[in-house]
Amino acid sequence: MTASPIDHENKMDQEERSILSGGNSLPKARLLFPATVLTAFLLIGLGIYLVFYIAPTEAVMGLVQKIFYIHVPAAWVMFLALLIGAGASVAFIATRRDGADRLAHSSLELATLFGLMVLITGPLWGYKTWGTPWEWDVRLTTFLVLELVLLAYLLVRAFGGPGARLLAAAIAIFGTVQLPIVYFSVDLWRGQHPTRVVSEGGLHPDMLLALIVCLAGFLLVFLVFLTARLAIGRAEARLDELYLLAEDSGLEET
Amino acid sequence: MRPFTQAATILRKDLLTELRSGELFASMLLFALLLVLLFSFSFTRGEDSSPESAAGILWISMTFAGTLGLSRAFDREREADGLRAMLLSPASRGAILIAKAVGILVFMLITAILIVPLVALLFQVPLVDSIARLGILLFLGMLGFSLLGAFFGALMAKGRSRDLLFLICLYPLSYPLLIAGVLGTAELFSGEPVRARVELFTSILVAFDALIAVAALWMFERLVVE
Repeated sequence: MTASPIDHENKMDQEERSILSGGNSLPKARLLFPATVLTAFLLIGLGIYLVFYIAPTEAVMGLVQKIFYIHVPAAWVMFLALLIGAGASVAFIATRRDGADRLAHSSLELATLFGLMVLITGPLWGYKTWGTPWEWDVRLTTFLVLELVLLAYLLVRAFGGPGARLLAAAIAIFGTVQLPIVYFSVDLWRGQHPTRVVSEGGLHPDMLLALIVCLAGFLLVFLVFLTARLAIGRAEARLDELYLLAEDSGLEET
Repeated sequence: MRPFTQAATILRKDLLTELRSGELFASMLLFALLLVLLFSFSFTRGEDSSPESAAGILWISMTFAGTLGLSRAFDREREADGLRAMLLSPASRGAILIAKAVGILVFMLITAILIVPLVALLFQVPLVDSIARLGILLFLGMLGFSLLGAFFGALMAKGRSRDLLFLICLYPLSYPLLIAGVLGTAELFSGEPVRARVELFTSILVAFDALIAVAALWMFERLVVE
């Protein structure tokens, strides 16, 4: 039996609808997203409880040290988002697939957001413990530069016009290849920022637990945002396609 | 032709063009001169001339002059549609990038030869012993900067709002180079440089240059489409 043109149209219609409604129409997959959102909420709630009621108050810095549980997970998630974004940018330049570009854009937008979180919490903490909100320490400086690179990425995407996607990908890659030097420069050139306290095991077990829960919460929040952002990106791309289709078939808006 | 010969040919063309007009070099030099004088007046006015500010002023002036040279160099290519001609020629993309970067690097280094003594004079910096090391630092810093500049300059040759975006791309990405260069230079200008620190900043610059060169060559091949 040959498929009639009407069948074909119906199929297209279904595909379009499923794309516009945010991806997979299977019930299981539909539950996955709300479940992740809920878990993220619960984990962040549990994290706040652990931070304020279970983890001991730090001897020297006191209550201000609680910023640690936001500052550090935000920085780690930011680096994760940056790595995903850079990897996707490499993939985009190598393959020119729109999906890779969408992943890079979404991920780097979130990296900017988490980076801002780090840049807001850091000076608050520093003001109380170092007595100054900002120090031209190597790690602080390079983190700021990284954030500026991300903002440049977003600006180029927003105002660059056609061809800006590739250019922006180049910015992301240049910005990321500098990262290893940034990370290890702290060892080479001592600054005020503490070096890797967590990986060297200088943390009270309850503090570590609170940190891990907060980190898991932040990771899930990142996943939720990323999924939502990707769905928006797909819907936008689909909408553009539909506009073109409508124009081609003479359905131009009046 | 091999890539090396191709790059040399393009470089020779750029240098010849410049020798005949002198426009790029004269404006870069004058701009750098103006910046050094302006910065040293607004920051120090002759008193309290710390080696840190001398190093900063030198590097910022060089960077700004380099930016001016870069945008003019690519304006020139655009006016005559030279970039398209080069892309249509059998020259490899990598050779074009390298030639453009080296061209700007040459102009920046000549500017530096004239600007460095001026800074040393204005800030009474001991220069005789450290001139070779300063030369290496400047060479490495400017190399990375001109590679980045040539990369984005060529890619943005005809994009929308290119002047604005060019600066927004170039400055944050060359910031690490500038930091390492300024710190190394400040160490040299301090009178009693700690050798290990100067070497540290020199090797950081080498690492940045290598990363930038590899990334730029890899991407340039894939990004430049006519």
